[in-house]
Amino acid sequence: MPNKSRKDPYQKLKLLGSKKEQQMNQKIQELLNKKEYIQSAAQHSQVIAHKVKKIQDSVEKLSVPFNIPTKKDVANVAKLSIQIEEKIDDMDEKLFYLINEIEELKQKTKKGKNTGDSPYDNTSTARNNRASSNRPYAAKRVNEKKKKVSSLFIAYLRDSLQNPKNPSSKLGERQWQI
Amino acid sequence: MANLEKDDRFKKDSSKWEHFLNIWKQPLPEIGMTAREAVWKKNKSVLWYYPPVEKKYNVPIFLIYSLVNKPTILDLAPGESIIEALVNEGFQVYLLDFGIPGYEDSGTSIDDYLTDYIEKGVQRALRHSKALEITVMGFCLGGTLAAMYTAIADEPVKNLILSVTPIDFSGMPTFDQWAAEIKKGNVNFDELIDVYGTVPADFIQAGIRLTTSPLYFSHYLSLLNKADDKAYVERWRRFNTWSNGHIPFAGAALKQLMEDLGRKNKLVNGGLNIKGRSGDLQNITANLLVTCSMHDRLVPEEMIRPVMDLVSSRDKKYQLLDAGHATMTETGGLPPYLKKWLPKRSDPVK
Repeated sequence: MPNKSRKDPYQKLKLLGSKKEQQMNQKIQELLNKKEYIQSAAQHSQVIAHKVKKIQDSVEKLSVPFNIPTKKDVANVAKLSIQIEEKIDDMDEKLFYLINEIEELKQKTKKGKNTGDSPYDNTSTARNNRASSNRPYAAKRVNEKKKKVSSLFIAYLRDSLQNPKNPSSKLGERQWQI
Repeated sequence: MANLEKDDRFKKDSSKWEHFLNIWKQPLPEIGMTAREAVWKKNKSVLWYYPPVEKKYNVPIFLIYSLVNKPTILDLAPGESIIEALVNEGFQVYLLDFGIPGYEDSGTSIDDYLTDYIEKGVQRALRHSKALEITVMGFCLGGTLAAMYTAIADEPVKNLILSVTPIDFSGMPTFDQWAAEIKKGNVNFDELIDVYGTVPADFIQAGIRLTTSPLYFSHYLSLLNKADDKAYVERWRRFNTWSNGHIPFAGAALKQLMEDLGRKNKLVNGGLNIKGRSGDLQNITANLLVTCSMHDRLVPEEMIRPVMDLVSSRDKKYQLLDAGHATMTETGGLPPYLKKWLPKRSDPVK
C-alpha cells in the first residue's frame, strides 16, 4: 500500500502541494506579523475610512435634490419593521403566559370539581364544590338562606309596586337577619 | 505486462482529470436535508426545530453557531451531519440561525445577540419542548456566545458544550505582534467598521484566511486526487460551499468583541457586563464539556483550555481531538466522546 501511494502522482502532488502551501503561508504570516506593516495597515485603514465617509456624506447630500433614497433611508425603514416585530414578539410572549395561566386555572378548577378538594385551588367554585361535597349540611343551610332572602325580596318588590306610597310588608332588621 | 499496467494507470489518471474538469459543470449537491421546522423568527434569525426520530431524552439541545459563517456545516448531508446524528440518537434539537445581517443591523451588539436572540431563543425552545432543562452547545465563536449566555442565564441550562471555542484572547500564536498592538490601542479599526456599518463578508473571509491559510490551494489537489470518487467529490463540494460562505458581521458586535475580548480579555480577566448583568464565567455551574482540536489553526488550544479553570461547574470534562477546526461536525455519526458524555446528562425518558 505505501508503495502504491508513493507511485501515485496525484497523491504525490497533493502531499507536495500541502507542504509548499504550508511553507508559503508561514512566510506570508511572518511577513505580515511585523510592527511596520501593522502600523502601515492601521494608518491606511483610517485614510480609507475618511475617504469612504466623505463619499457617503456626498451621496447623502446629493440624495436630497435628486430625491432618491440612500442606504440609510432603507435601513431606517427596516429598523422600524424590526421594532414592530419586537413589539409583536413581546405581546406574543405575554399572551402565551396569560393563556398558560388560564389553562392552569381551568385545570385546577376541573380538578377541584372532580375531587372536591384541590389544596391549591382557592376559587369560589372550588370552595363551593368543597363545601357541598365535604360538608353537605353546611351547604344545605347556605342554599336555604339564599331561598329565604329571595322570597322576602320578591314579596317586598310586589308590595311596593301595588302600594308605592305605603308598603305594608316592611323589611325589618329582624327579617333580614336570617 | 508492464506496458498494460502503465496503460491502466494512464487511463485512470486521465479519468481523474476528466472528472476534475467536469465537477464544475455539475450543479451543487443539496445541503441540509434533516427534517426541520421553524418555531420562532426574529429579524433575520430563525429558530429551527429538528424533531427526534424517537424521543429518548427529556433535555433538548440548543445549538449556537458562529457569527462569521452559515451553520450549514452542522447539517451538510445525510451521514455528514451532527444534527442528524443527534436526532437519530433521540434528542430534540434546536438551532438558532442568526441569518445574514444587513446594513440595518450595524448597531446590533454582542449584548443584543445574547439577550435579544440567544436568551429569547432558549426561552422559546423551552416553551416549545415543554422541557424543564436544556443543553446549550456552541461552536467556535458561537461557543464564546454560549459561554457568555450561560453566565447570565436565568434559564435552566443543565449542560454546556463548547466546541473549539475561543475564550482566552491574551495571545494569538500566529499574529502575536498584531495582538500586542491591538491591546496597546495602536491599531484601531473602529472608524473603518463605522463607515461600513456591517463588515462585508469578503473582509471576514480574508481575515480568517490570513489567520489560517493566506494561500489556499491544497484542497484542490485533494479533490484532484479523489476526483473519481463521487461521494468524496460531493462531500468536498458541500464543505467548500460552507467554507466560502462567510457572512457580514454587524459592526457594533465586532467592535465590542475587539474591545471586550481582544483588548481587555474580559472572559479571563473578568469585568464582562452584559446589559447590567455580570458575564463572569464563574457564574457557570452547568455540566461542562469542552472540545479542542489538535490541528486547529484558527482556534488553538491555548485559547480554549483556560475556560476549565474559570467556571464553577463541578462536572467538567476537557476533550482533545485529533482533528481540525471543522472535523467534528463532518464525521457522520455522533462522536464517541459525545455519545458517552451527553446521554446520561440528558434525563433519559423512562
